[in-house]
Amino acid sequence: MNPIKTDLLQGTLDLLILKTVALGPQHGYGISLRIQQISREALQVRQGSLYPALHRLERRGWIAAEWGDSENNRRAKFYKITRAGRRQLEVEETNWERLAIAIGQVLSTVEPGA
Amino acid sequence: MRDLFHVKQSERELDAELRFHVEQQTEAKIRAGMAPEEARRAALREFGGLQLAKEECRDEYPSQFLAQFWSDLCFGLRMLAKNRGFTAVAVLTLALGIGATTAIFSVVSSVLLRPLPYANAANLVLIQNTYSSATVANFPKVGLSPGDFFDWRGRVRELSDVAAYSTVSAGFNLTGMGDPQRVNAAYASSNLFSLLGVRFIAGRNFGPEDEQAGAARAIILSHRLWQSRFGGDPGSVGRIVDLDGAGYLITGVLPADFSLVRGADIWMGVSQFQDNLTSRVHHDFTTVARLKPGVTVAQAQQEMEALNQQALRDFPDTHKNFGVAVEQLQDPSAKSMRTPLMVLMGVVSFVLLIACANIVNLLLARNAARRRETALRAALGASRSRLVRQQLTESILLAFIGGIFGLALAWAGFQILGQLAPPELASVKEAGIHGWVLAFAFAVCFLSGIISGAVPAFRSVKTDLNSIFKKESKSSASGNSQRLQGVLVVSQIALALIPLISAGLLMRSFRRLMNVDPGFRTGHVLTMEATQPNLPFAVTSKMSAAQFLELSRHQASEFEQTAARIQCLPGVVRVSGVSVLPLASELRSASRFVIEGQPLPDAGARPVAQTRSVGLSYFAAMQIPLIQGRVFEQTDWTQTNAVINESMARRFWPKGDALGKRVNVCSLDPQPCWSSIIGVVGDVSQFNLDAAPTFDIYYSGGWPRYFVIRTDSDPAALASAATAEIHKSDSMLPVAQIETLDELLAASVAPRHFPMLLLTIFAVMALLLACVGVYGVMNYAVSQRTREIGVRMALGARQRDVLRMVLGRGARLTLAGIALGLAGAFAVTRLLGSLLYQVRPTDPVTFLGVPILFVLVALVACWIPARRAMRVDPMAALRTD
Repeated sequence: MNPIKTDLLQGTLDLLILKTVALGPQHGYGISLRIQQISREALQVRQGSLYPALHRLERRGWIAAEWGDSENNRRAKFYKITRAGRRQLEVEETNWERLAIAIGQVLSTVEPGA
Repeated sequence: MRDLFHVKQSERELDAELRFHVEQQTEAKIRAGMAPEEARRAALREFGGLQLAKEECRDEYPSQFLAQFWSDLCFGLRMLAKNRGFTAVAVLTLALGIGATTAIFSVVSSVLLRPLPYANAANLVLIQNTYSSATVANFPKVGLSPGDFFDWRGRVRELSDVAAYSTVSAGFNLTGMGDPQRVNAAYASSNLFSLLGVRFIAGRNFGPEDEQAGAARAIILSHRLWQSRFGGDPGSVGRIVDLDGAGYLITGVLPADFSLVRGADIWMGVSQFQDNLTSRVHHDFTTVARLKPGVTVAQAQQEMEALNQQALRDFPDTHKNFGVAVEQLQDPSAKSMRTPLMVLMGVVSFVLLIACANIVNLLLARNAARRRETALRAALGASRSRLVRQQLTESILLAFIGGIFGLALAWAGFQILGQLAPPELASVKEAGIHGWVLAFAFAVCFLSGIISGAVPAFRSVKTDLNSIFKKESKSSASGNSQRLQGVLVVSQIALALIPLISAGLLMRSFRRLMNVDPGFRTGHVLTMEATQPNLPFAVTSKMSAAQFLELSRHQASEFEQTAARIQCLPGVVRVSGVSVLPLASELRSASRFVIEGQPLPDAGARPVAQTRSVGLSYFAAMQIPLIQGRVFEQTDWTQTNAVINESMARRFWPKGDALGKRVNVCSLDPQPCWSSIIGVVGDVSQFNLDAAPTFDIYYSGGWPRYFVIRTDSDPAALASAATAEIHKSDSMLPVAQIETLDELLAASVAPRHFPMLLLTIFAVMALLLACVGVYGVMNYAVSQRTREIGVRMALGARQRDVLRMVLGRGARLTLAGIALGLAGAFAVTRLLGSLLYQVRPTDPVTFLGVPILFVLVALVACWIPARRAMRVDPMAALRTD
C-alpha cells in the first residue's frame, strides 16, 4: 500500500503519540517508526512536527521524559505516559469515536432524488 | 540569568535528541543499502526542516522568552546603529510626539489630578449662597453671611463640623522688622484648620486661650511669609509683630502645601474680623464643612435648603432672592484650567499619532528594502511569530530611545515656558518629571512602539517568500504598501488640520480680545501699591459720620501732596490714585445700591456697582473720557459726591439726566449713605477684557491704595524716584506691586494667551510632522517608480508631465486629508467653548484660511520629490533594476 502522507491535524497527532507511548516507553525515532508500523504504513508522521508535538505534550504533563540508552547503546531521550496522560488519552479516544460516528452519519445520508 | 544557563542546557539536549533521530534514520538507510553520504542526505531531507523543528520546539517553552527577548534587543540595537539616518529621523519624530504628550500630561496631573491636601478631602463640601437673579457678572455664588454661619453651625445634623474663612482679605502693614511690608490677612473660624486636618509646621492653631480678655491677638503665619520674612525660624512662634501699629502674637505656622486662600500671608481669628459678626447682610464667610459618614452631598443640600428657608422667614428683607448650594470641595484653579488642558491633551495626542504614522511609513520603506534578508531568515527557520516579535522589539526600542529624548525636550520646554506662564497658573510651575509622569511616559513609549511597529511587522512576514528570491520588479510587492502609505498620509493631514484650525480660532479670539478698548490708555503708566495702615475697628466703629469725613479729607490732602511731589519728577505727566486698579482678577470692592426716586427692589435683586475711591486727577491720569458733568475737586472731599460710568447712567437714566440724582450704596445698613452724581465718565474694564460691563461708582477722599503715574517715557525708570517721594511723607509705608499698566494688561489676558501659545506650538509641530510625512511618502513613491518614470519619459513624456503626475498624487492626498480634517474640525471645535471669544466655532475665515496655508506648505513638501522625478534620466532608470 502506498504510504499516504496525510497531513495530520495537531489534535490527532497528540492522540497517536499518547497511544503509542502508552504501549511502552519509547524515544522519538521509535515513536515515528511504531506509528508507521501499526498503521500498516498508512500514516507517516512528518518528522518535523513530531518533536514539537512531543515537547508540547511533555510541557502539558501528559508524557514524561528521561534520558536512557537505546537498543544500540546510544544516549536517547525516552518518553513515557503519565497518569494524567492516560486520562487525557481516554478523553481523546472518546472524542475521536464520537467524531467518526458523526462523520459517518453525514456520509451515509442518501442524496435526494437518488 | 539562571534562565540563560538552562537555555544552554536544553539547547544541547534538543540538539542531541534530534541528532539521534537523524542518525538512526541514516543507519536504517545504510542497512537498506544506501551509501553513507547519500543516506545521511536522504535522512535529513526526510526529516524536513531541522532548524524549523528546533525553532518550534523552542517555542513550546515560554520560559525561553527572556533569552529570546535579550537577543532581540541586542539585534535591534545593532540594526538601529547601522542605519543611523533612519534611526535619527525616527528618534526625533518620536521625541517630539512623546515629549509633547508627557509634558501636557505632567501639567494635567499636577493641576487636575492632584488630590486636595486636606484630610479625607472626599467628604469635604463647600457651602455657598447663590443669587437667584443673576444681576452680577463674574461670580454666581458667594459665601454665607456671618449671622447665618454662626446660626446654622449649631443646628446642622448632617455635617460633623462646619468652619469658615473670609473672602474679604484685609491688608496690614508689617513694620518693625526692616523694610515695611504689606501683608494680606484672611480670617478663619477657630475650627477651620482642624476640620481640614492641617498639620502645623510650628506652633498650634487658635485656641480658647487666645480669646480671653487681655490676651494678645493671635495670628498664624503662612509658609511663604514664614520663609521670606522670618527666615523659616521655628522660634518665630511666640514672637510679637507689629501690624498697623498694634502688636500681634504668632501662634503657629502653616505647612507649605496649604493654599486655601492663595494671597493670604497671615491668618487671624474671626473674632478680629472687622465687621459685625451678627450681620446677615454681607456675604463674607466662605463655608467649608465635613459630611458625617454615610451622608451624601444631596442630603446636606436638602438640610441647608431647609435652614435657608427658615432664615428667609425670619429675615425676609436680607434673604430674599438668595439660595444655598452645597458642592464637593474642589481646587479652584482646577476648574478654570480644565477645558484648556483637555483641549491641549487632545492636541498632543494628535501630534503623537501623526508621529507614529510617520514611523509606520519609515518602517514600511525600510522593510521593503530588507525584504530579502527577512525572507532568508524565514527560510533558515525563524517562525513568523518570532520575526514579528523581533520587529516589534525593535520599534519599541526606537520608541524608548525617542522617549528619553522626548523627556529631555519636555524638561527644556518646562524651563522655557515656565517663564511665560501667568501667576494664577502657579501650579503649572510645580509640574515636573516625576512619579506618575514617568510611568505615563513609559506606557506611552510602549504603546507608540507597538502602534508604529505592528502593521509593518505583520506585513513583512505576509509576503510570499518565494517571489522575493525571483528577480521580480519591486513595484508589484510595494503596490499594496503604497496604498497603506497613502491612507496614513491622508489621516496625518486630517489629524494635523484639526489642531491648526483650533489654533487659528484661538488666535482670532485673542486678537478680538486685544482689540477690546479697556476704557483707558495703558501705555507709559506705572502703578504701585502704598497703603495707609487701617485704624482699628474699635476706633472707626465709634466715629461719627462727620469725624469719618474729616479723616478722609485729611488723608486725601496728604495723598494729593505726595502726588504733586511725584508729578514734579522729570518725565511724569500726571499722578493720581485709585483704591482698586482696573483689570482686577477678583472681586474687591462692590456693593448693592438703590436709586432715589425709583422703585425699591428686594435686597437680593438690587443691582451691584463696583465702588472705587479715586484721587482728584484719576480720570485724566488714566485718560478715561468725561462724558457729562465734571470730575472731582477738593471741595468734594467734605461732601458725598459720586461719579458714575456711562453704562450705569444709560441703564438707570436713559434720558441722560443722571446728574444731580442720588444713589445709596449702604441700602442694607440701618443708616443710608446718599451720594449725589456730579459726573459721568466712560466705561472701564474693571475685570477681564471679556467680562460684561459693570456699573461703577467713584468717590473721592481718603488715601487710595494704588498710585497711578503717567509718564512720557519709560515708566519703570521712575519707580525708585517715586518710591522715595512716597517715603518722604511716611517712611513706614510699604511700597509694593510695582508694575506698569501694560504688564497688568498682559497678566489679565495671560489665561487666554498662554493656552493659545501652547496650542499654536503644538499645532505647528503637527503641521511639520504631517508635511514630513507627505514628503517621505512622495519621495519613497518616486524612488520606487523610477523605472516607470524612465519608461514614460522614454516613450515621450516631458518633464512637465512627470511633474504633473507627482504633484497630482500629492494634491489628491492633501485634498483628501483636508476634506477629512475639515469634517473633523466641524465636529470638534465646538468643544473649545469658553476658550473662544466672539469667534464662532465654525468661523469661515479660519476654516478657509488654514487649509489654504496647509496646501501651500504641502506643495513645498512635494516639491523636492517632484524635482527628483523630473530629473530622472530615462537611460539610467531603464538600465537599473
